Amino acid sequence: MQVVTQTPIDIIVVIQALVIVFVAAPALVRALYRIKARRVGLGETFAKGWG
Amino acid sequence: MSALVTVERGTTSVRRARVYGILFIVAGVVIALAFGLGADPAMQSRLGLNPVREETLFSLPDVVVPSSATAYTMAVVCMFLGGVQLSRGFRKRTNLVLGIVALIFVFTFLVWAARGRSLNLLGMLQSSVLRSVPITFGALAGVLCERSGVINIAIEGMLLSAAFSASLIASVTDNLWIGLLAGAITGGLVAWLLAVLSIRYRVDQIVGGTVINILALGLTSFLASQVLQKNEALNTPGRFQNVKIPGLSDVPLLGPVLFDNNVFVYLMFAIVAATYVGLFYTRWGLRVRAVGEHPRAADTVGVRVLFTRYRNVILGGMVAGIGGAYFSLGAVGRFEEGMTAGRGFIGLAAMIFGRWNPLGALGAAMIFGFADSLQVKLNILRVGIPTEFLAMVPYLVTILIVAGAGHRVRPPAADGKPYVKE
Repeated sequence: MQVVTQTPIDIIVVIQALVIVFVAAPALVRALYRIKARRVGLGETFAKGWG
Repeated sequence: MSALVTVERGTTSVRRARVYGILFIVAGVVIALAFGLGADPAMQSRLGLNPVREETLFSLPDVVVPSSATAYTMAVVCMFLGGVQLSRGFRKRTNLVLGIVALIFVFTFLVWAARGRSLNLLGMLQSSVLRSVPITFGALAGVLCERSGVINIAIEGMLLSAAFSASLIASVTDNLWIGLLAGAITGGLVAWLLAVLSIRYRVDQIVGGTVINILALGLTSFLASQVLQKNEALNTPGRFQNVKIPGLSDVPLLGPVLFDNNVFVYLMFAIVAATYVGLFYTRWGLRVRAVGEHPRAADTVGVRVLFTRYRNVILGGMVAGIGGAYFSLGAVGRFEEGMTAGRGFIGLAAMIFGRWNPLGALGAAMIFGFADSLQVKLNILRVGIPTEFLAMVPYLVTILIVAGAGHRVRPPAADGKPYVKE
């Protein structure tokens, strides 16, 4: 890609990070598209602590 | 039931005490075999205690010790401590003795490495303090975030992006202080992103932090290659010069180590003290800790849980930002891609080893800083270990210490758990 279109290689890492954010944050995607949550507290199960 | 528990606890602690005793003896044997037999009996090691270049008011004589005899003496001391530990036990002072044995081990190693030559011990301490600066700032950022209940894996990303913007802004404005401020603000902005992700959108805080690290690495590398490499003038911020504190910097040994440094070292001690007093002796600290331990109870009393968390995460990010500015404005004098090299994660380890306490974090960061400067010194002394392995030393020490301390530390109870108001 860098050779053909002169896309800098570093931008790939940035896009990867954004992909991970949107995968990990359903609430964020819902907020972006203004979709109402079907049930209250959906997506809470994603988070946990050190242990 | 309770009797059973005490019996079990009794046997495990006896076993641990024995393991420690055997460990001390093994340390003694290793010292005798590796450092005692490994050195010529006629050789001497010279350990310098004065600054290399400058003249001081008082100068200390260099310590000259016979290399192998020192190793044998220290080996006997270690084995004696091990014997006492096995027969009688040091009980509550076991950890202190463990620290002493570790110290003896490092000291004899240095004596062995400096056999037939001289090694400037004071210079090593100076560079340990310098190298612990970004680690301490990172650990403090972690303490501030996690005491309020938000896990901060993103310290590395905060350090890196702050290093970048501090260098850029300081070059543009030609003012180091504005660069430092820009670093702190950038750290705060990155932390705000972490706060929004983990508090508002309740993303898994480990994932959110990792994302920020990747994002910071990608963005800074991209901008560095697109902007900084094409205009070299944007990456020449210069460095903060050392400021001597009059009077105190002439104290032998301690003076050159602590009171002849650049502004980052003084800022570090000031912020450590402020965070410690703030967390444990003020109303603000009590509320922060309550939010980190039991957010529901804090909310019931009327503490604004989410606000406290936002504020603490952003505050932590600003502290990390100052630490990041150290890389470009305090150490190197320019920004380089990936220049933090995992210091943020070592800071995280320092925070855990320091038990989420600012003073503990400072102490732990000093140990990591010492390991870092040891690695550099051994490289110069050519002890016969390949450079690549020496570069691993700080990270190896991190793994060893965290693995050893891991089971005895307790994070804030609500650490990493998002709070949802009912």
